[in-house]
Amino acid sequence: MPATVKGAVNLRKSLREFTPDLAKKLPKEIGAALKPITKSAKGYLPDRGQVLSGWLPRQMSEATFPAYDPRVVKSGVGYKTTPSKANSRGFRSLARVFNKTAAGAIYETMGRKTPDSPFVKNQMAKSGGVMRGQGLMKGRALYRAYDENNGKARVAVLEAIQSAARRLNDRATVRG
Amino acid sequence: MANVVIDIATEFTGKKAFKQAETATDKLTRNVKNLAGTFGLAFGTAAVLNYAKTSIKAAADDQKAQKQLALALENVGLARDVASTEQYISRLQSEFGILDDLLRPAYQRLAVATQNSAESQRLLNLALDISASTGKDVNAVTVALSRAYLGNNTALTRLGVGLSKADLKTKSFEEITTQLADTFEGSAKAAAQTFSGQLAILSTGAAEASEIIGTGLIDSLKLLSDGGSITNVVADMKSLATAISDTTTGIALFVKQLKDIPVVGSALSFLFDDLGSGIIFTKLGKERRERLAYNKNEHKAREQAVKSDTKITKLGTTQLSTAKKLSATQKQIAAEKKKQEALDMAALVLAQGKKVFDEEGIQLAAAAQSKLTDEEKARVALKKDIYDLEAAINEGNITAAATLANSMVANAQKLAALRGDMIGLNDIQNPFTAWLATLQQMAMELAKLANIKPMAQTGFTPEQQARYDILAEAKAKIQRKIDGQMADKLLPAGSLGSTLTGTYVEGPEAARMFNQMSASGGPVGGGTVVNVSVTGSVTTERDLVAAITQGLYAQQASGTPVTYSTVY
Repeated sequence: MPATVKGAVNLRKSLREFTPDLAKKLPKEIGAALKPITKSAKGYLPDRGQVLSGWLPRQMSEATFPAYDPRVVKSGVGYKTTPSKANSRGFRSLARVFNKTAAGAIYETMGRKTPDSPFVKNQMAKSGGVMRGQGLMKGRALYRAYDENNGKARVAVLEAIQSAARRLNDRATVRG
Repeated sequence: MANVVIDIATEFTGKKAFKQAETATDKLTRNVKNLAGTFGLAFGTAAVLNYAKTSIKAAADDQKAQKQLALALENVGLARDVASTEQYISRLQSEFGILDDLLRPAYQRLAVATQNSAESQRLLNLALDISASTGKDVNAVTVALSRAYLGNNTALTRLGVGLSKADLKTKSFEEITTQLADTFEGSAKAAAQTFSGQLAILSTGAAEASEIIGTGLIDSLKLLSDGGSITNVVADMKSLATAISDTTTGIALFVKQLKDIPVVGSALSFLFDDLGSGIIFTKLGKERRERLAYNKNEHKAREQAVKSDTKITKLGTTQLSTAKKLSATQKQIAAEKKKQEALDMAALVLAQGKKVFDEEGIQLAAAAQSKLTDEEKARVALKKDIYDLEAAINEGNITAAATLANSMVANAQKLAALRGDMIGLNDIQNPFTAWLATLQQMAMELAKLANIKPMAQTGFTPEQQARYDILAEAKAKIQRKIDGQMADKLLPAGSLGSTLTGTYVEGPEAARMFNQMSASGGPVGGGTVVNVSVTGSVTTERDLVAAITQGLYAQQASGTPVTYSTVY
């Protein structure tokens, strides 16, 4: 469950308009908080020798099942600090980490619903990653890294936002 | 499509949120208006009638829902839980801002399905979380849960709560609800803490107040009605509204009649000027409210303004005194500066005057113009450079100092070259060689003396002959001495060019012969006369010391070191 804050989008606009230095600093601070998660997640992703040979990229595409290219999959793990568009329920994400490639998502969650799948069994026999997390946020790479982060990133992000708001208010306050 | 994303922080700012907030605000506005109408528009017949109708209807619906829920609970054997259920629903309403009109049917549905109060409450909590998280209607969620409880899981798949068909087939209802609880736990509480949720809670509070008022009205009308039943409520409400309207009209007529009285009416007319927009008491109440507002807000603002003025005045006084001090200090600094400038001028003049009487500089200049040797010229130039360099350093003239330093180095090199010419190391000879050569020279002179041939003996007197004999004997003795004792120390005899001959005398005899020669004015026996003249002067020891001291001073003055050092 992500933390919900109020006025963060407007805060970003105000920072950009009145204090450009703080506007540049805030994403850096948020990024510094999120980077450990993505770094750990990339470390949990298997390399070329740790995946099934048939899952690796081939010369010619033979099927629609996404091939696992370690370089592409690892480059698909990252973070964003810009506010997203509102989802169907009206929530805008202020900071997020993602594992956006299809192969990365497959490795992340495979076996969660079908633990007896031959593909899952074979892959686990070759290189079994530990699943961590709860419910829909249970996985081997990104979810695991987030779970092992123990909420430090969330706290750091909230502190960064609050700190930016406080500094903006300090500068905007007229002292006489 | 892959969608592995973790939102670390979010903000509830979407359009949907605004719509929900607007809806909630509208509801709140309506309810507040209804409440306000109760007090502010008490004399409006239509307003009273409308609010009374609404309140009575809400109260009647609430009572109906309560009775239906109680009946349903009794039917499923949960009659003992009716009171606790009402408290539970009331708590949910105030905590999450969901009207009891929605909660009661939902709870009733779950209670009928589960026939268990604890399970019903657990499922209703879960339904509220799912509803808050997914945006689905609470009723829709409770219908799905109640059906699932009875074994029909189809409705759950339509909720979009992350349950697959495999989950629904393989897992029990308990496992499914546990999974859903893990997934959506805390959503309802989080939603209630948002702005929209808070507005919803306010709105439910207003609705609850309206229901309470409506309940009171129903009770009042029951009391007023003849039969004590609600059959004639509507007629009684109309009667009450008509009575209030008539009363208002009566008051207005009374006031009009009062104003028509000649003296009293004009005297009291000011009381009724605002009758069109309200009663005089309204005006009084408004004035009192404004006065109170003034007391609370304006007074504080004035106090703050007075404090600010006091601070500004103090600050101005402080600034004025500081400016005065600053001005005095600047004047003092300017006076000191003038004094310093005068002193600097005097020092400059003094330095110029000193230059005029600079004896050492004059002496050096004179020495440089006189006729001197190259070495002396170099020394004088070097000394002058040193003197000028000291002066330049004292004056702080760096350019001149650098120039003089270069000149000094050049003169020093020149002097060193000149002194190198004078004191060539090659000129230093072996002192023993020089001593030996001196001895050889002496030997040669002696040999010359020894080779003096005797004069003819014919012209001698007997006395002269005697002297001649003595000299000859002395020569012979010298010859023998040389031959015997110094043969090994002298050069070979051939190198002297001749051989020593004759005789020599020694001791008292030689002295006597010397005296005789001196007395006669010529050599004894008429030989070669050797005159020895001493150059220089003979002086006393004191004069010698004085001369040496003077010489040392002269050497020192000319720059030649006269120090002496030795190591024992």
